[in-house]
This record gives sequence, C-alpha cells and structure tokens, in this order.
Amino acid sequence: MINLMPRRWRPVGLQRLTQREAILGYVLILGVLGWLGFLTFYPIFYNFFLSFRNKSLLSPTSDFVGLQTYVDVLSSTEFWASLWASLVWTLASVSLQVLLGTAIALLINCEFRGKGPARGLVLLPYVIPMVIIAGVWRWMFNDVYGFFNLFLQKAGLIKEPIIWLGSPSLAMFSLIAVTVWSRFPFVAILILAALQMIPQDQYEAATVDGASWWQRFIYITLPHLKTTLVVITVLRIIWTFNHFELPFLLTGGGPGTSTQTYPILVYLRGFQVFQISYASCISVLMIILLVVPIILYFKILKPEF
Amino acid sequence: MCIVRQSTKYMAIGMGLILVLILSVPLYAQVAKITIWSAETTAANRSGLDTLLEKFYNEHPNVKVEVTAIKWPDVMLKGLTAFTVGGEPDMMIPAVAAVADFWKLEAIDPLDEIIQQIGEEDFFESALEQVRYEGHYLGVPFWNEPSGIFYKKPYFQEKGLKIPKTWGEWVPVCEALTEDLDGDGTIDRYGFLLPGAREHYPGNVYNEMLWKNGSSVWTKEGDLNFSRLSVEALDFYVKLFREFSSPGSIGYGFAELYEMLARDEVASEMTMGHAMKRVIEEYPQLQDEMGVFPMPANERFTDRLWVGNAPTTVYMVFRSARHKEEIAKLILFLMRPENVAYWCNRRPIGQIPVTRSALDHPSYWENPQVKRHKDMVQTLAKIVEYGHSGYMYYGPHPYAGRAYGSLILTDMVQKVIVDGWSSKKTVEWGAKEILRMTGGTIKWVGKGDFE
Amino acid sequence: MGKKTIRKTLLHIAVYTVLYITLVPLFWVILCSFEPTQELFSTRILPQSLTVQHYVKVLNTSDFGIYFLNSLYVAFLTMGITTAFSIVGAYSTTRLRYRGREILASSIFVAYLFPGILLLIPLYIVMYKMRLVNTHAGLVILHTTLTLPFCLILLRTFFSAIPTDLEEAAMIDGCGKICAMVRIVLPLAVPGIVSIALFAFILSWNEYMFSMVMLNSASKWTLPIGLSMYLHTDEIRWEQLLAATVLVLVPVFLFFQVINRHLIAGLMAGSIKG
Repeated sequence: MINLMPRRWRPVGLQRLTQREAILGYVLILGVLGWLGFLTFYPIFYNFFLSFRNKSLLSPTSDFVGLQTYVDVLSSTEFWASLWASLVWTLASVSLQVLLGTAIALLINCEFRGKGPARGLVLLPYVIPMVIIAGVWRWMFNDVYGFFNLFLQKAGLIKEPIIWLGSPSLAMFSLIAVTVWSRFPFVAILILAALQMIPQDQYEAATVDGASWWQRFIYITLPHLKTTLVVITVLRIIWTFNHFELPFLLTGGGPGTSTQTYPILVYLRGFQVFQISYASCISVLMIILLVVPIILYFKILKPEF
Repeated sequence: MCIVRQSTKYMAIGMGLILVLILSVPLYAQVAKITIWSAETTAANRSGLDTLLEKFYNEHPNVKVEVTAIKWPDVMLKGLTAFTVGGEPDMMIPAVAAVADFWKLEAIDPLDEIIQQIGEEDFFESALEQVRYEGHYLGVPFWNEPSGIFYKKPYFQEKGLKIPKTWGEWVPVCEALTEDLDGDGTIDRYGFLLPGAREHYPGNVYNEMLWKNGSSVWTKEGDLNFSRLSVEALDFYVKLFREFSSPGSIGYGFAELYEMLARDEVASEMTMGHAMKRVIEEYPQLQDEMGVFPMPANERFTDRLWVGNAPTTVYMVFRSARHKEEIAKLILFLMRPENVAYWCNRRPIGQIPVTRSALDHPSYWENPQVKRHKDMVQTLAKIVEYGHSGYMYYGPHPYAGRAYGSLILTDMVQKVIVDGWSSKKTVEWGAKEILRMTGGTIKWVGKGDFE
Repeated sequence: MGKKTIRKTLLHIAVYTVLYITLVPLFWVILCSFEPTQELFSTRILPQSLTVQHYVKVLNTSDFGIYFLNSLYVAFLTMGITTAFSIVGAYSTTRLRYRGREILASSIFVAYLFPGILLLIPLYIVMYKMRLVNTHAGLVILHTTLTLPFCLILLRTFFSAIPTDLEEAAMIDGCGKICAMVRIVLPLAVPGIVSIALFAFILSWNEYMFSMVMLNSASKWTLPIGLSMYLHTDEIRWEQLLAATVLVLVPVFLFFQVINRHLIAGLMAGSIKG
C-alpha cells in the first residue's frame, strides 16, 4: 500500500522507456485535444473575436469597435443584476447539491435491503430532460392544483396558497430547490463510485483500533473523497453558472429580473435581439469572473489531480 | 469455371443496377423538392398540412414537400442560424414578426404577385397590413389566432350583467364577479384573470390595453409612441390585476390561463380561441356556457372596441429557393378557400381564416364545433377583421420581433406588479430600453406628451 | 445482537425516508400520469379512478418509438466515443510523465468553461461545412464536444486515485505500459468509467438546444425534441407530458439496473490491498 520508492527516482535503465512514455503521452492527449480543439476552441475564439465587433445576426456586415461593447455591458445595470442572480443561484444550489449528494451517497453505500433499485431510483431526477423538469415543476408550484400547495393545505399547515414563483426571493428559493433536486444524483453517483475505490482494509483496521463511525469518516473517507469532491464542486459550479434551460423555462428570469441569470441575459440579447457581439462580450466577462476564483481554488487547495 | 460463371452473373447484376441508377437520375431530377420550416407544431396542424400536401401531390406528382416542425420560440433562432451559412429552407411558416427582419437581411422574396392572383380584396385588410412593408407584401397570410375575453355566461346571468363595451362599464362587471362565495373571508371567484409571469403573454395583454387606450408601441411611421396614454393603460392593467385577479396569477403565463379557463374560480380571462379546445375535449358540459367578447375600450376611444390582438400566420419564401414556380403553385393551392377552411378547422375556433372566400366557404361552417359555437366564431372573426396587426405595431416593423422577444412589455408589467415601480417611471424605462435596442434609429414622438 | 438489529432498522428507516423525500415529486408525477384529466386538475390528492389513456395517446399520436430509438442511437454512440477518448486522455495525463502535462490537462477545463448556447452558431457553421447538418453523426460529434471535457476531468480523478506502484509492479513482471493499463488501471477504474459513461449517455439523452438546431426531419428527432412538442405555447397537454416522462424514465431505470453492479466494485477492492 505504501509507496516505498520516491516518485522521481527512476532506474537509469528506464531512461529510454521514459522517452517512449512521453511520446505515447503526447500522442494520446493531442488526439483528444485535437478533437476538442477543432470543435470547441474555434467557437470560443470566434466569440472572443466577435466581442470586439458590433455584430448582429440581423445585419450582414459588422465593424471593429474595440472595447466599446465592454464599456456598454459593464455600465448596464442588467449585467450586474444578472451577475448577482447567477452567483446566488450557483453558490446556493451547488453547495446544497454537494451536501445532499454526499449524504445520500453515504446512505445508499450502506448494506440494506433493496439497495440495487434504490441506487437506480436516486438517479432518476437527473435523467428527465430539462424541458420536462421545468414544465412539470412549474405545474407542481401552481397555486390551485400544484402538489405543494395541495399537500400543505390538506395537512393544515397553510391556509392561503404559497405563490412559489411569485415573489423575487421565493422564486429564487424555488429555482434553487428544483436545481438541487434534479442535479444532486450527479454528485451522489460519483461519490458512490469514489466510495467504492476506498480500500476496505483501512476501515477494518480502524474498526479493530476502536475508531467510531465519525472518526472513520473524518480520517479515512473524507481524505479519499477530497479530490473527487473538489473536482465535482468545480464542475458543478461551472455547469450551474453557465446553465440556461432550467431558469429560463421555469421562471423566464422573473419575477422582475430576480432570477435572470447571465445565460438568460445572453439568450435575450443574443438570440432574441440578435446582438451577438453583446452576448459574446457578456460571456467573456463572465468567464474571466469564473476562472479567477477557480484558479485560486486550485492553487490553495492543491488537490492531487 | 464455376467461379467465372458466378462473377459474370454478379457483374451482370451490377451493370443492371448501374443502368437503373443512371436512368433514374433524370427521373429524380424532375422531382422538385420544396423544404418548409413550420412553426405549426401541434399534432393537429402537422397532420392537417400533410393531408393537404397529399392532395397537392395528386395534382402535381413532380413536386415533393418536406416539412420540418419547429416550436415557434425557436423558429427565429434556427432560421437565422441556418441563413448565416446559406442552409435556409425554401419556405417558412414563422411568426409574422419575423418577416421584416428577414426582409432587411435581403433573405426573402416579395410575394406581391401571389397576393394579386388570389386578389387583394379577398383578404381582410388587417391581415394584409401585417405583411405590407416598403411597398411590398412580404408574406401570404392565411389564418389569424385572435384573442378575446372568454367568460362564463351563467355567472353573468346570475348577476344580470351585460357585456361591457367601455372601461367604465367593465370595472363594475369585474367587481361584481369577484366574490367570496362561502363567506369565509377569502375570495373564491375572480372576476378577470390576468397573467403576471415573465413570458410573452402579459406583454400581449398590456399591448391590447395600449390599443384600447388609443396608444401603441410604434406610430404608423415606425417611431416610438409611448405617451401619457401608455402610463394610463399600465395603471389600468395593474388595477385590474390587484383587484380582480388571483394572487397566484402572478406566476401565470399562457399555459396556466389555458388550463384555468375551465375552472370555477375564474369568471373571465383574456386568452386565445385555442383555449376552447381544452374545454370542449375535457369539460364538454361547460362548452355551451362559454362566451367571448372583445376587450372593452376606454370611453375616449370607443372606435377601438373591435381592434384586438390578432397576429397572422404567413407563408414566407426565401430568395434562395430553387423551384419558385412550384412554390407559387403550392401557395395558391393552399390558399384555395376549401383548403384554408380545412386547415383552420384542424383546430377550430382557435384559427380563423383571413380570406373572405374561406370564411364564407360552406365547408368552414360544416365543422361541428364551428357550427355549435357559431356566435363565438363570429365574434372572433370580427376581431380578426378589425384586429390590429399582431403584437405591437401597425405594419411590419424591423424592431417589432426583437422588442417582443426581449420581453420589454412584460417586464414593464412586472416592474409595477413585482418591484412596485410607478407606471410613469416604468414607461420611461421601457421607452429607454426600446430606444437603446433600436440604436437611435427611431424617435420617441410621444415624449413631449409624456412630460 | 439486539444492538445490531436496532442499528439495521434505523439505517433502513433513514434510507427509506431520505429516498422518499427526494423522490416524492417523481412518485407524484407517476401517479398523476395515470389520473383522468379532470382528476388531475382537481383539489384532491388521491384520484378516485385510474386510467392508461394518456399513455395510449402518447404512443398513438406521436412517433414516440422513433424518437426513442434515435435518442438511444445518438446517446450510445456519444457514450462510446466519449468513454474511449476520456480513457485515453485521462490515462495520458495521469499515468504517463512528460513535460507540459498539467498545462495540457487544464486546457481541457477551458473547453468546459464556455456556455454551450454561444457555441451554437459557430458549431453550426462547422457542421454545415462538413455537410453534417440533419444527421445523427453530426449530432453525436456535437454531443461529444459537450460531454468530453467534463468526463475526462472526472475520470482523471479516478485514475489518479489508483496507486502507481501496482502498475509498476506489473511492469517489472514484464508487462508493457499499455498492457499495464489494460490489465491493472482499467479494471480498478471501472466504477469511474461506468459513471462517466452514464453521464455522457444522460447528457446526450437530455440535450435539447443543439438537437433542435441540427435536426430537421421529424424522422431524425430525439426524445427531448419530440417531447417538447407537448409544451406548445398555445396548447399544453400536461397529462400526456407526464405519461411521456414516465415512458422516458423506465428504460433508463432498467439500463441503470443492468450496469449498477459495475458501479459497485466489491470484486476489485481486493486487488487494491496490494
């Protein structure tokens, strides 16, 4: 189990092998990056390029305008409002997803009757297409025949129906709830897989030493999960921050602009008003805002990854 | 020996196949293929078009039509994306707001000749107005989807209420219909249900009120027309919303209104004729209790009583289309009175023909639902006849689609209802948003009146 | 013994409560899909009668079967390509040592950072030039670009959790690099590989925006496109939408049951002991 050889130490005879290893490494990764580069990096540069022009889909020509679009975007209130909405939505729903997902993974990792189907059932919310999740939940939030109001009223907990999507703070709460509900399986399944890779003998040894459940969790489980947790969190943050469909279909960014996250703003500007440059510019700014904390995160936490 | 014989056999078969292929090329080339992207995605409308096309093939066996259904919020996105690279279809059936945008891109053909062949006088002027731009007809309109105020007749009879024609008459009607039926202190029936969610329909309803108050988004010249009247209309929307609509309706868009029409809690609401389909299919016992009237107008603008929300659906032809002759034949075929009537009646009451010949055609009135709800259809047809041009403009306007898509009117409603802004501040905000969007190409003519 | 039974009971109660709470919206969807329309829009919670008419309508009025097969085809291909590329990429960036490895690896992150919606038009241009518009092949390529970055990043974490000495031991035994990968690394990483394959599958299975722009013919539509037709702005059929949702869920649930055992690496755990 313990690696006795220092990592960098290598027998001289392996020199040629190392070279061949490097070549193999380059060939493999460049193959993958080539596939991605062709289809992803080109569009990204295309958008970056557009953000310095005044391109509209509704006019055949466009001019170079330098940083003008950036000035326009940064001086608009809608940009800052959408940044705030995006931040609230992302941070709240990602932290809840990770907590709930991890808790559920730990639970269904236990030995219990029906764990096979249970593991499948937990996955289900993640499998429903977003168009349908939004449609069904919007209906469940309805004041008259929606599930929550019906249930709470029958249980005698409330008298008047709650208007889940009606006020700015409550709408954000509802949006976060739906996001957490539909995306926690992603975390749960990955943590479950990571839990499988923890060597069982460590637990056995700890149990023999009289460690409690909590101690085993802190000293064995958590260190093994650290890398996975960090990576999942970062991936979820990026995904949520950039995600368009769910908030758009559930609240349309409303009421007011309380849930207008930045992809909705990009959609309205880019695909309803067709100011593609303006939309590209918002994205470029948002990515810069997104990348800086992520780099810091990796620099500080240094997950072995 | 054997092998040679066999290979000769295969060679013969191969040669035969090649021969067949070569011969079939000219045959294949003679088939003119027309591609259509259609925003008519309901099962009924898709199969309706298919049936009409089958009939068309009988007359023109050398034409093949391929129809792609695209949900209408995505039509513009997909159309423009494809047009950027030259992958557009030959024809489109988009929302009418799109025609001016495509015209400005020099993407589409004017269809003046087809309109003239059918006869301008056959169309309702309200429909032609929606496609007439820079001296041309940019599309061929065929049906309208009008909105009106749908109401429950028994509720009106109980109280002895009459159909209101002015805002002054309308408010007391809504008041009488908003009731606490079981006396528990909460309201159980709402006089007039209004949508409040952040989607298109609240903007549509507000736009209707703009019209009924002598205002509009654009002037006839295409400038911005927000004025004191727009503030008044917004005040009126909010008053009705707060007093006669349910608290939950702040989360309602078209989908919820569609569903709520059959509910006991609702005495009346503004919706499209399509909502009747739900009532007829799922709550047939209610269908004869339903009625419709045009939204009342402000006392000062009673001439606008029949001027209601009635956007047209059109055929639009791309400049790059190859088989223009066949396309003209196809449109003329689809515009035959019996065919327009047939396709409209695939979703009866919701879709009203815009040609007089189709509306008067006996086959139109033979549909059992149209026959049974004749009064309703006649009212809606009158809204179509005098209806204003779609969502928010007189004729096509290069910024209409974008103003609509970016939800400015809905946001105005929400600013007042949700954020508690004053109507005046809100209209000012809306004007600034539209001016910003148009990049200073239009004037704000109502501004003087506004101050 | 008694203590153990109590703990076991408590565990069961905990598991089932959590499952119930998280899945209650789903149960309600399933229940509602069997309710007659009038019941659906009443203020009763439990229906008085049940019906399968919505299912019959969905299966009769739409080409549900065709959409389903299309989705399956696209999702399986996406899953296969993504998994293969992810294994190759993750192996290269975690098990092989060469200069600039970390920079190359983090450049994959960049591909994941951009919002998909803005890639739509440039990608459409590329696909159009390659004559791949309105083909499933084109859609698979697009879906792969969406899934590959995050699947690769995730798989790296699983690969790096496997101790290097196992592999080195195998190599000393005369096994080459590739052989060590196939014999040692891959079997140990099975839970990770299965889960990223699953996510690639689901992402492709659910994707709407790219499919909507790329596919023209109704015969090529995938499920999200076909199902979204129930969400018309002027005619929403909730009851049919609910039935369709259940029809989508059942096969994925069954598929998951089949691959479930591979997520549970009880057999492999022994070899890590090393």
